[in-house]
This record gives sequence, structure tokens and C-alpha cells, in this order.
Amino acid sequence: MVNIDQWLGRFARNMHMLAAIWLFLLAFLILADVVGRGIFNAPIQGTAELVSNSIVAIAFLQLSHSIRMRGMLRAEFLDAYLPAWVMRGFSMLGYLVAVALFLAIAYASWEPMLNAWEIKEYQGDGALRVPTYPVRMIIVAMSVLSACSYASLFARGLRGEHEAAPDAQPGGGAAEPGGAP
Amino acid sequence: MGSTAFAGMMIVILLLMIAAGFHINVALAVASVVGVGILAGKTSVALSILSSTSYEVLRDYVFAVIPMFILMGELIARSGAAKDLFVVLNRLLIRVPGRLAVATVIGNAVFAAVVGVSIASAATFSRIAYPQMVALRYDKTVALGCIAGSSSLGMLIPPSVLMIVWGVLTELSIGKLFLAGFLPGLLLAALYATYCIVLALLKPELFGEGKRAIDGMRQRAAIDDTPIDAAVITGTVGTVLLIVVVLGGIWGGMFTPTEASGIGALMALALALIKGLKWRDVVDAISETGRTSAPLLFLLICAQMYSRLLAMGGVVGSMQELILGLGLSPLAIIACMVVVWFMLGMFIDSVSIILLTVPIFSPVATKLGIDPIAFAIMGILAIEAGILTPPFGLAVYTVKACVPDRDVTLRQIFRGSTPYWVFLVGEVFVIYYFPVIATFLPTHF
Repeated sequence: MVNIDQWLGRFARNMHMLAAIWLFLLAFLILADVVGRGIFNAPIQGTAELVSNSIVAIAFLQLSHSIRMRGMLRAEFLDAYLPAWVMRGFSMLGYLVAVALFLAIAYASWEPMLNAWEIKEYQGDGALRVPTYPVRMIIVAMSVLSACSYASLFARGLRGEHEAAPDAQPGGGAAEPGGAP
Repeated sequence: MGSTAFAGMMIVILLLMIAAGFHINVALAVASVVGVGILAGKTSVALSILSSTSYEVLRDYVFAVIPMFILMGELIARSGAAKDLFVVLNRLLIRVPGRLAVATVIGNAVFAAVVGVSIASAATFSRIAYPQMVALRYDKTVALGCIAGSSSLGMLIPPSVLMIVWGVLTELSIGKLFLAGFLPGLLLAALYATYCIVLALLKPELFGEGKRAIDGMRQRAAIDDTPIDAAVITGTVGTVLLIVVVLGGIWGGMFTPTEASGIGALMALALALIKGLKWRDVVDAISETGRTSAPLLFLLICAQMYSRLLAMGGVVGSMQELILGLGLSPLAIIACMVVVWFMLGMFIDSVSIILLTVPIFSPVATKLGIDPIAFAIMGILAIEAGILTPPFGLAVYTVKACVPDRDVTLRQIFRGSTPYWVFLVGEVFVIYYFPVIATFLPTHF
């Protein structure tokens, strides 16, 4: 089990970095579009479609690593007032609910994905038409992976490992360089 | 039970889940989807909301601004540009009483124009300014309060993640919101700086400067001996240039906010590399960007599910009737909203507060005849106070985690930053009476 968990963790991290590089490439695409439009009066066709579809993909690709790295926001005010075992119980329940939620997202997105594949659904017109099935596939796959991440948090909770990871920074932000190990 | 009452009950369950420490996205999504499913009486409706929001909500060019601006801030925060800025500002302010505190405030204001989150500034200035202040024997409470307090400028001076989220929820133009925050942000920075100067004049001992020091025998801080060399100039000029291109580009109509954010991220990368940022740190920056932005983007999906619940339950309309039916004056209603924001700010993060309250509050404010843009700024001011208030002020915790001083207590930082959140809340009412401070730039540019 621990091995599978490690493997999934590495996979989630790789997806995270892949999406990070993707985001960087989008920045270059946007720059090229602006320069092309401003200087050569020739914007890059389909930039908006590519970027908007990519953001959905990037968000989902990075979700499951963020879950593992405790990047998800939570309110911590009861931690100080209730006994630790009660809060642990609540967190565990929260993880289970989250597993159900992400499995439901994957299940609900399955049919639309097959449809998009079968009817060759495209977005945008003109020079660049972006097919929609890759993003839909990413949503399904990454929702399943996110459910696994939550299952992993649940398992860690069962083994008695604590909620607060060393890099936990509530609310996110650039608090600590090198947050991710 | 009527559908509104049922939706209200789901909101109560949602708040209970948040209180129990469930991840906020999960709580929002589950309460909303289950609520909608039960209201519609069909599982298929609930499932279709899950699939359609996951796929549709973020599919818009404008959402790229969130990760791009976060990336820009991450790179700049790691580049050391903030320290350069602080060195230069401190030199410029050499004759000003309490200069390190004033330099911290102004440094935060400038820094706020390149980062979209307050926490980045709090972390950075804890490392840069605090040791200098301690070396000059500043009172620790004053020094810490100044660092935590002035980080609140980060969300008010554009670019700001809170404004982006607010704009997305209310369909206000993000570029206009950025413009709207500018003057209130400057006003707040001026208030903070004035407060520091006045306090330094009244109680010089808190700023390590006895009467003697003011008479000319000024103590020197280590930072005064830092030479203003090419590296420092590069950092300072680069930061200012970045602000001019990004904000100037949006306001001058040359770029959309999305384009400005993409170009800004690349300029920040260039500046960071020129400043000698190591490849490892660049990788850290892009990795951290994902850790912050992915949950935020997913939160927006969940917020859309929540707004479907509100719509289906008719909650917005009923709340409007309820609030307006109380017959309170607009001022009293706004005051109540500020109290709600302020209280929520004690417990949950700023973005979640916006997601939970703005869909309900914003239509009420519009009915009261309050300009939606001015209302957005008022809301952001009140919500930002939450990062400074006990028991869980995020900026305070960040400062505590980042200052290189183990003796500092949270209590000390909370005490020191109290005047700053009083200013924040006070400015809400300044904007209420003089909305033109927020609306002047958006209507004239």
C-alpha cells in the first residue's frame, strides 16, 4: 500500500511540474501573441482558446499534488479549542467526503468525455480549432488521482500522522521558498 | 420546508463543515451539489452540475491571470528585489523619523504592485526589515506590527487576487477593479506612514531614537552601509519598470489583464535571472505557484456550484427582501456587512469569505444604490482586516514564522498590528462617504 501511495505521490508531483511548465509556455505564447499583434499586426490565431482550455487542464493537473502538500484551504480555528482526537476525526471524515466528491466528479464527467471524443467536439473557429476531449480526459483522470490523494491523506491519518505537514502554510501564498520537498 | 429554507439549512451545514476543518473547496462543493440534488429531486441534476462546472467555469481567457500573477509574485519575491527596494527607500528617507518603519510601509506599497497576495509581502519584509529594526533598537511590538500591518496593502494595491476573484463573481471588469484599488491603496499607505512618523515623533524611544538622535546624531543601521551598487539599482529599477509595464499596460489599454499577467511573469523571470536567481529557485517558484493557484482555481469551480444552490433556493432574493425589509439605513446595513466580514475574517481566509458572502451581499448593495466598484473596495478592506486580527490572522502567523527571532510572540504581533486593522476598517467608511476615491480612476480612464 505504502509503495502504491509513494508511486501515486510521485506521479501527482510529475503532473504538477508538467502543468507548471505548461503555464510557463503559455506565458511565452501570450507574449508572442502581443508582440505579433503590436509590432507585426499579426496576432497568433487561437491564443485565447488555447489559453482558456489550458487553464482548466493546468488547474486539474496540479490539484492532486496540492492536496498532498496541504495546499487546500481550511479553517483552523477549532483546532485550538477541541481535543486533537476530535479534530482528527473531523479531518478523516472530511477526507472521506472528498474522496466521494472527486469520484463523483470523475463519474459525472465520464459520459461528456466519451461524447466529446465520439462527436469530435471542437472549440473556436477559424484558423485554430481546439478539440475538447483532451481537457475532458484530464478532468476525469485527475479527479480520480485527487480522490487517491485524499484516500492517501486518510490512510496517513489512520497511521496517526499529523495534519500539519512541515510546509503547511494556511491560505497558500509565497510564504516559504522551497515549500515542496 | 420551502426551498429557500432548505437552501439556508444547507448553508448552515456548509458552515459547520468549514468549522470542522473540512477543506473549504470540498465543503462548498458537497453542500452545494447535495443541496441542488435534493431540491431538484434528481441525482442526475447534481451530477450534471459537477461535470458542467468542472469543465466550463474556468474555461475563459481571464482566468489565466490568477496563476500568471501568482507566478510573477513568486519570482519577484525570490529575486531579492524587495531588499534592493528597501535599501534605496531607507536611504531616501534618512531624515524621516521612524524611517525603517516608513520604508517598510512604502516598500510594501511598491511591492504590492507586483505581487497579488499579502502573505508574500509579510514573509519578505519579516526577513529584510525586522533585523534592521531590531539592530536600531526599535520596540519589537512596533516593528512587528508595522511589518504585519503594512502587508495588508498587498491585496488593495493591484494586481490583487482578491480583486480578480471579486471581479469574476460579480462580472465586474478586473482592469477597472485594479484601477479602483489604486487610490484607496495609496491613501492607506499614506495613513500607515503618517501613523509611523507621528508615533516616532511622540515616542522616539519606541523607534530606538532618543532625543539626541533626532538632533542629528542619528544611529546607523547596517543597511545604511549597504552600497547602492548596480545590483541594487537593477532590482529597484526593474521592479518599477515591471509595475509600469503591467499596470500601465492594462490601464493604457495596450493589454488585457491576461496579457499583462503573462508578460509580467516573463519580465519577473528575466529580472530574477539577472539578479542571479538560481535555477533551483526558479523551479521552486513555479512549483509553489501551482500549489497556491490550483486550489484557488478549484475554489472558483466550487463557488459556481454554491451560486447554483443560492439561485435554485432563491436565497439571494430572500436575503435581499429580509435585509432591505429591516428598514435599516444603508449605513447600518453596510456596517452589518462589515461586522460579518470582520468576524469571518477571524476564522477563514479572504478568498473563501468573498466566495461565501459576495453573491449575497453584492446585489443588496446595488439595491441600496452603492456603486458596485466602491463596494468591492470596501469589502476587500474589511476582509483584509481579518489577516491581522486574532485568533488566526494569517499575516501575523506568517510574520511569526518568518522573523529570525525566536522570542517573538504572536501576542506581540497582534498587539502591534492593531492600529493597522483599525485603519483598514476606518477606511471602509471613508470609502462609503467618499466613493469617488475608488470610482474616480475607473470612470476617468
